[in-house]
Amino acid sequence: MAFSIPDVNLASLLPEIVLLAAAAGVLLFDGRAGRRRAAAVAAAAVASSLATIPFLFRGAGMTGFSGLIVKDDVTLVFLALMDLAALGAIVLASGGAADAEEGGELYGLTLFALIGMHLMAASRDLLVLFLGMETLALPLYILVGSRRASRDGMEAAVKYFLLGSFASALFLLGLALYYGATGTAGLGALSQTPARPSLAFAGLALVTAGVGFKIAAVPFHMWAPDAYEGAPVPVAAYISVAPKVAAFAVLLRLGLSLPGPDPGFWTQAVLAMSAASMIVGNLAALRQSGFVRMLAYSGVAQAGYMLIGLAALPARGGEALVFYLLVYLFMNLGAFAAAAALERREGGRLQIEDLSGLASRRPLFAFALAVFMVSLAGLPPTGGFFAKFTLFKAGIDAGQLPVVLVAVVMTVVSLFYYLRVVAVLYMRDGAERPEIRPAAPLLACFIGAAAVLTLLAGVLPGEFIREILAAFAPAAL
Amino acid sequence: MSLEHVVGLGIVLFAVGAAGFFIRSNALVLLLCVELMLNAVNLILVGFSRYLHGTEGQVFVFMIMTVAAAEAAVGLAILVALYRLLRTLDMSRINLLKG
Repeated sequence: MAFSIPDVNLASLLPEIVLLAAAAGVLLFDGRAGRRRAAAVAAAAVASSLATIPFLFRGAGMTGFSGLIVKDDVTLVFLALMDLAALGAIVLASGGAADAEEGGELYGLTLFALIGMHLMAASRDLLVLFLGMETLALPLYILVGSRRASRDGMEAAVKYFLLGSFASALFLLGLALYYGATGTAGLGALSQTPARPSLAFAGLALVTAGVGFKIAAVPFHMWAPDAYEGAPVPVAAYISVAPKVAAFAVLLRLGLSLPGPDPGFWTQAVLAMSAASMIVGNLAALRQSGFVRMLAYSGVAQAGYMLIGLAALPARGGEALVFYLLVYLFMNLGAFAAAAALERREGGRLQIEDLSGLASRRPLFAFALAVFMVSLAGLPPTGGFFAKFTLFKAGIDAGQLPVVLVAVVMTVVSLFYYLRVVAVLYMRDGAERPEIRPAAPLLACFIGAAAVLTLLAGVLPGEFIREILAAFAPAAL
Repeated sequence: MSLEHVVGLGIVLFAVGAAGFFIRSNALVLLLCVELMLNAVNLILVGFSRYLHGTEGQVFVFMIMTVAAAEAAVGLAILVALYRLLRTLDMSRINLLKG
């Protein structure tokens, strides 16, 4: 019997192999000094993965494992976004307070999750996608529960874990039905009409639901506020950005694999999820008094905005989505970094009221936080404005006017809670508030860089969009 | 035994697991429900694999079993830590986080 060795092409997974080696190595470090060394090694590994991307960009792309892994330009852009998010999370974690008994695990698990996200974005096969999703999810469950002495932390971890594994089971049922309908788990089968269309569509719907959990889109958002609030702030920052990037890479791949531009059931489902996320997320965020919980619901709403990009496929929706993700990365990581800097050492969570009068005591810090809030609200001259603008324009061009109208109305609603933070910062007297420790130098630099990039994306959006457009040029067909 | 029997049984088992996930409140039982759902999917995959005369579906099952084992390990670790802290696994009584 003839046996041919499949074309593996390990080089296509070289960055992931480097990350894996670093993640395994980092677990060996122990104690306070080890923790610092672990952070350096983890950051170096992520930076090396990031550094390979410019060399591959606009190249022929890389294919490995007989087509299971494909790294084309669009994938590379998503990989760059994830690496940036991981780098940010590592910086945040190294600047924050840590338990004495904690070693390098925090960074190791961050890297394991990053490998899973890389696999998700690069896979062209539902099974590899599932393995990537689980490689992402399992370390995150542990990270959320990394404060074992905290009741909130453990409650968040168990809720996140149970709902997450339920979502994985839904995804798997979708995979099984898709396999039954098409005889393969490859996404290439989507472009032809399958032998049993209803079975394939049911499978696709369940797969979308499983991935929708990762972006915290309504109705799969229940875990987000609890997990964000209970998790250590750097972990919450990571969960709020990186898995969203990976899941949107997957959803974009699904959307581009579907045949033709006809607004089928998939687009309808995406539109429904988008509108529901915007409405539920924004209205719930209005009622929050905790800063991180408010950011969690704001994240649900932001996922709703981004879903508009998917409904505008295969036209300009993809570019708009990636640009939005890029700006979201800066402003959301920045906002969480501010929360990490303000996190009180003992007792209680950061409330919005705690920010009272910060502008008079820490003017630069308050200004950076105000930039993030204004950008999240989508007001000029910040990147958030142009990100929303391109996204809404793509939606209107694709004929999805109703959902864009919902988005515009909800953006107005969101002004109330984002600008409330700015108002508390600048217009409230906070003399009786507890003194705030100055942020660690690295953390302060990070917040400053995020604020500058958020502003730059608003002043020079063309520079940011150009590279993204270049990535999508061949994919537009 | 036809495809409908195998897949039908799988769907019923999956539905039992999903229903249990929403009805029961003990975290350990919820974990069991998720495992039941995963194994129901395995059954469906094997059924389709036999029907399609392919081996892919059977390979998937091994991957899923591995992931399910890893998931159980992480989940049980979280549950043990939770029980040590709160002395209960009743999810209806674990509600410190609200809003």
